[in-house]
Amino acid sequence: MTIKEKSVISKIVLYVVLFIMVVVSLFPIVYCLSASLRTQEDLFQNMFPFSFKALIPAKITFENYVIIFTKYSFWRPVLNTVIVTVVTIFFGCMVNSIAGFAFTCFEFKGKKLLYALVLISFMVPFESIAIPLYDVANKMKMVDTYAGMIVPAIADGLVAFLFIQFFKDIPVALIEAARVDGASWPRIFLGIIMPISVPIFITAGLMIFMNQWNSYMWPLLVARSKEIRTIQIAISAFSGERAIQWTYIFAASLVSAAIPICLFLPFQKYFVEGITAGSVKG
Amino acid sequence: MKYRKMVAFGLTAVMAAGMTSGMTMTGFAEEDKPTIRWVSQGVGETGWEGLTVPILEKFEEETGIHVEAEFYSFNDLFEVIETKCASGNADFDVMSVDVTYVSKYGSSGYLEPLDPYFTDEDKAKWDEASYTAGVWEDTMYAAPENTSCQELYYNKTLLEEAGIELPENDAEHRLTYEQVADMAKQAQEALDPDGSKGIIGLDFQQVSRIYQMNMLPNSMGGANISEDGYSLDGVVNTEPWIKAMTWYQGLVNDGIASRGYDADQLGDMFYSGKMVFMVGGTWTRNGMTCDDEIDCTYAPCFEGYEDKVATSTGSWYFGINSQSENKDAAAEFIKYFTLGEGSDMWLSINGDVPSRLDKQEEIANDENATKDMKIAAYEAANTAYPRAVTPVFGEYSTILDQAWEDVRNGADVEDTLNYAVEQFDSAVASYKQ
Amino acid sequence: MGGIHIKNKWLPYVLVAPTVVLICVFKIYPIIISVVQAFLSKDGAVTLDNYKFLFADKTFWNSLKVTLKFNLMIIPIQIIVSFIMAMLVNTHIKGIESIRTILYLPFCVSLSVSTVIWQMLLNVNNGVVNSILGTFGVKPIGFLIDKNWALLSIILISSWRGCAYWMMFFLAGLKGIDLSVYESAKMDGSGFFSTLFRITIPLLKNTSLFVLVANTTANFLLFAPVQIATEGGPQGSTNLLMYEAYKSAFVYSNRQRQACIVTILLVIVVGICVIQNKFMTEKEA
Repeated sequence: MTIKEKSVISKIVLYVVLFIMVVVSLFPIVYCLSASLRTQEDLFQNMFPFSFKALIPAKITFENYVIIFTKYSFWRPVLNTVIVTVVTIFFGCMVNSIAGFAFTCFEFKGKKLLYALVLISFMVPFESIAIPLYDVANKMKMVDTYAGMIVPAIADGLVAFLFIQFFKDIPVALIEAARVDGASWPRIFLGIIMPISVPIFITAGLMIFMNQWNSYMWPLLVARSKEIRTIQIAISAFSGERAIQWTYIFAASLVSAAIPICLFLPFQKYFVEGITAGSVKG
Repeated sequence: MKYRKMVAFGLTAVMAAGMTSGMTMTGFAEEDKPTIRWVSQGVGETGWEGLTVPILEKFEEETGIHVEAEFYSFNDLFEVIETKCASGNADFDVMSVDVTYVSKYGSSGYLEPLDPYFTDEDKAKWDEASYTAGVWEDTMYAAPENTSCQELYYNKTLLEEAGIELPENDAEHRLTYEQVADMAKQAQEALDPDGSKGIIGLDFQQVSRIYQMNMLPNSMGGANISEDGYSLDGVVNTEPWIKAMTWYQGLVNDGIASRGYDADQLGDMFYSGKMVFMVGGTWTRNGMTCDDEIDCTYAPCFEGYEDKVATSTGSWYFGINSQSENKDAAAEFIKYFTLGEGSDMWLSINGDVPSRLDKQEEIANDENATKDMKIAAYEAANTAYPRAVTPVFGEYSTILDQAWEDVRNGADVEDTLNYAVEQFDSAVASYKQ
Repeated sequence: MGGIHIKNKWLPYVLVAPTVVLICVFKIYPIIISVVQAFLSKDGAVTLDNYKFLFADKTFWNSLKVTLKFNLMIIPIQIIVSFIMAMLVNTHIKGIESIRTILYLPFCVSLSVSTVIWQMLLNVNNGVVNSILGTFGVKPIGFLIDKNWALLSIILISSWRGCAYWMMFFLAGLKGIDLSVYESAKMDGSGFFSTLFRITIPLLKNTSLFVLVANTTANFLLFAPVQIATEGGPQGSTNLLMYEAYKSAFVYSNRQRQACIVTILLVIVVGICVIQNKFMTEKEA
C-alpha cells in the first residue's frame, strides 16, 4: 500500500465515521421536527409501529407553532430568557475570568481555601440547595425579579475553573515580556490575555448561555409571575394533570433550540480561526 | 485604573439590578381590601388559569378580597409548595393540595387546621370519602374542591368494526374484568390479527400509578395501607393483591394490555383510536382527538367479588399556608370555592365530579346530565374507595407505583410485593420514632 | 502561565472578591445549611440517626451501587467519545464546518426534551431503534423496561447530548495547540498515534483535567433522564443516588435524608476529583 492509498483509505474511514455521527446526532432532531409538524392524533396514530409514516406527517401543519405563539404567547418567555441569559453571560464572563486570572497569576494568602470553595460550589446539586437558596433570595427581595434569576448565576465555580485551566496554558514568556515592558496588570489582562483567549471566552459564554437557557428549577421557584417566566417553565406548562400536549412541547423545544443554534453559527469562525495562544509571538 | 472601575461597575450594577427589581415586586394591599395569594396548577386559557377567572372576579365583587393566583404545571406544583413551605415562607396564603398530600403537609406543619373555620354543618355537606381525605389525625387540614371517579370507556367504532356487542350492564350487574378482557382479545384478533397496527385491548389511563391501579386489589377486598398508615405488611402481601397483580400481569403477557407506554402517553393511544377499552374518568371524553365514537359504562368488577366493587377517587383540595398572614380572608376564599357560589360556578365550568352531596344528588336526578356524570355521581356516592392516608405518602406511592410497573414488565408478583413491604418498612423507620 | 505566581498584597483579593462573595452567598451558605441538616434531627438536636436510618435502608445501598456502575461506564464513554469527536471535527476536510455544526446540535436540545424524544425512539412497541433492529431479525428489546438494558439506555440518552457538550471543550483546547507543533512532529516522521499520545494529549493536560472534573461532577449529579424515562425502575436498576436525593426532598419532604445523600455524593465527587488532580499533575512531573 502506498502512502497515497493509505491516505485515501483513511479519508474514507473518516467520512464514514463522521457520517454515522451526523446521522445519530441528527435523527432525533428530525424526529422532533416531524412531530412538531403534525397533530397529536397523527403523532400517536403513526408513531408505533415505526414506519416512514412516523417520520413524514400525513398532513403537514404549522398549527402547533401558531398556537404556542398566539394562545400561549411563547414569545414572552423567549424574550425573558434572552434578557436573563445575556445579562448573566456579560457579568458571568467578566467576574469569573477576572477571578480565574487572579487564581492563575497571583500567589496570595488563603488562595487554596478560596480555590477549594470555588471548586466545591459546583459539586453540589442545585436541587439540594434550592430550599435554603430560596430563603436567601427571599430575604434579599429577589423573588419574582429578573435579578433573582441572574445574580445567583453570575459567579459560577465551573466557569471560573474553566478560565483557570485554560489560562494555565498561556505561555509564561508572554506575560513576563509585557511586565518587563512595564505593562500594568489591567493592560496585561485586557491587552494580552483577553485577545488570545477568545475561544475560551466564547466557550464560557456558551456554557453560561446553555445553563441559563435550559435552567428549570430555579426560575420555576423564583419567577412566580407569568410576565417573567422563562422558556423551560413555559414548555413545562404544556404538561397538564391529565393530558400532555406533546406536539406543542416539540414545537416549543425546537424554537428554543433554534436560538442557540443560530448563535453557534456566527461563533464558528472564532473556533476555526481563533487566535491561538501559540500563534501570538511575544 | 481600568480594572478597578470594571470591578466596581460590575458590583454596583449587580446590586442595583437586585435592588431596583426587588422594589417593584411587593404589591401594596389596601387595608380594607386584603389581597390573598393562591398557588395552584393548570396553566393556560383552558386550564385552571383561564377557567377560574370569573370565579375570582365574582369573589372580589362580593367580598372585596382580591385573589392573586399563581399557576404552575401539575408536576411543578409540588416542588414549588415544598420549597416555599420548607423555607417557612409567608408569601402565599392558599394552596391547592392534591388529596394525597394532605396528611403529609398536615403532619409537616405546612397546613393550618381548618376546624375553626368550618362548622360541623359545613363538613356534613361533603360525601364521607371526600371529607375524611382532608383530615389527618382528627384535624381537618383541607377542603375538597371536587372529586374524581373511574369509568370504563370503550371505542364504539372499533368494537363495531370487530363485530362485538357489549352485554347489557348497570350498576347492579356490572361487566366483569374477565369479560372485558375476553372482548378486548376478540377485538384485537379481528382488527389487528398480526399485531402490526399496535392496537391495545384493555388498559388503564393512569397505568403504573396507584391512583388507578390500586382499584384492582381494592375490588378484591384488599386494603391500601395499614390502619396507622405506617406499614404495608399484611396489607399488600396478601391474597387480593397477589391475585389482582397476577391477573394484570397475565393481561399484559397476553398482549391485551400494553407495556412500554407510560401514564402520560397511554391516554393518547386511546384518544387516537388505538385502544379498545380504557379505564378512565370523566375527563376522558374531552381528550379524544380522532373521529372514533366512544362511550362509557360502570367500572367492571372481578368474577366472584361482585360485592366488593371499588373505584378510585379523590382530587384537589384547598388548604391554608400555616405561615399566612391573611388566614381569615384565605378561609373565606376556600369556603366560597368549596361550598359557596364559587363551588357552583366551578362545577358547572369544569364538569368535574362534585364532592358536595347536594350536587351529587342533583346530577342523579337531572335527566339532562350526561351518562358519564351520572355514573360518576353514583360511584362517588357508593363505591368510592379512599386512597391511602399516610404522612409518608410520597414513599408509599413511589414504592407501589414502581411495584405495579415492575409487575407489568414481568417481575415475579410475590417477590415484588414482599420487596415493596421491606422497602416501605425501612423508608418509614425514621418517622416512627 | 501556570508558572507565574506574582505576589501582591491586595490586588488578588480585589480580583477574586466578586466571584468569591457571590459564590459564598448563593452557593456555599446554602450548601452549609444543607450539610448541617444531615446532622440534625427533626426537632433540631444534633444526631447521627439520619445516617443510621439511611445506612439501614436497602434502597440506598442499591442506589449507591447503581450510581457507581453508571458513572464507571458513562464517564469514560463520554470523555473518549467526545475527545474522538473533537479530533475528527478538528481535521481540515471538505464540509467539516457543517459537520461540526451538526454535531453540536444535540446539545441545543434541552435534556428533558431529548429524553422524551429518545423515550419514543427506544419504545419497546416497535419504536425506531427496535424497528431498525427488527429488519436484522432482532426481537424487540425493552430498552427502558428491561432491567438489563435500562441503565445502558439512560447512558445513551445522556451521552447523546453530553458528548456534544464535552466535545466543545476539547475542541477549544485543540484549537489552542500551535499548528507548528504538529508540523515539526510530522517532519520528525512521527505517526498519527505517536503524535496523539506524545504531543496532543500532553498539551491538552489542563483541558482534560477540566473536562474530567466537570464531567465527573455533572454525571454524579445527573438524574433528569431517570426521572422522566424510568423513574428509577425497572426493579431499581436506574435508581441513581441523586434521584433518591431529589425524591427525598421534593416527594418525601425528608430534607434530612436528602442532606445525608448529598453529603455522601459530595464526598465521593471530591474524592474522585482529588485523585484525578493528583494523577494529572503527577504525570507532568
